[in-house]
Amino acid sequence: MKAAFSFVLIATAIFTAGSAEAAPRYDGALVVFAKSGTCPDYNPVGEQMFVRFRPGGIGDNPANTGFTFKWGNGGYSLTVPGAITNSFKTGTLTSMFDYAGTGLADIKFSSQIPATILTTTQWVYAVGSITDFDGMVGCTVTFRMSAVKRLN
Amino acid sequence: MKNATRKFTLAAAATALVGFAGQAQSAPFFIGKMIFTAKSGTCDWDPVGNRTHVRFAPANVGDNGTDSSLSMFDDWGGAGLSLLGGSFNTTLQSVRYYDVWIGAYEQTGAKVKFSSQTPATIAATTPLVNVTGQIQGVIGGQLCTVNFRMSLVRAVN
Repeated sequence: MKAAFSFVLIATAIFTAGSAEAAPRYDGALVVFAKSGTCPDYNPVGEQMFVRFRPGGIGDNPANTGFTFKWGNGGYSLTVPGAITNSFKTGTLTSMFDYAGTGLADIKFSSQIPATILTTTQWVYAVGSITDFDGMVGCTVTFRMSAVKRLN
Repeated sequence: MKNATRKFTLAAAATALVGFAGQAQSAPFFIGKMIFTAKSGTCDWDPVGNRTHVRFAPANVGDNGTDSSLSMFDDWGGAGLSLLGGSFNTTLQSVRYYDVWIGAYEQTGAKVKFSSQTPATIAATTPLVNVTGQIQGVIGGQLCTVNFRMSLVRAVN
């Protein structure tokens, strides 16, 4: 009964001082539930990924939007000018697997709840699409994601 | 940007998942993130601000059984809570609790409530679940109560 489960280690790692309220960042999960085009390497439907989301221009956040989607052993980060909207916008893509890569991908949120993100918004839900998913040119995936606002 | 190692991993995962394809939508579960937002009582450490991955299967939805199950994970450990024969609601209810950190522990005295849940009723096709709630007696130690919020999306498989 001694060492009951402890999240204390993460706390130590993550905790920095916090003006999080003024610069809202979100942490969540993403599920791919549909695809279109051709996905030659594998069928991405059903993929479950971790998400980080920093909406652009909200509070003290920079103007560009950061959207990171990853597995446990690698993933992608997409930086989009301005907000992610309901029409495709091209962002710069950075990958981290066996090595660091760069590229481009388009992303959109077909729907987002709440429609407007404020510095006080506690969670964000979106249905969206990403082109050229996981390096597969011509493969567009549609996902749903939800994320909670971090405290720090 | 592709790499052979990861593709292989995914192919293996995909193959494994195909085996479960039959029960897909009919036994819904949700994945997401939980964050601890406050604490009260006497806590051995301060969990406020910590975030964990979560998996949640509500009881009596689709082909799910009669237990409600909630698991939380970080990269190196995890904990599972089961409410036997019921659903989480606004009353603190006793749950079975196990964790894996170094070794395996069952801990008694754990209680959970959902103070709010959106949507109020979860269906087999519900895409999104938002919850605020409370865990008593395990996170932060036996005398600690933590508040959390979590947001989850329904998995495809």
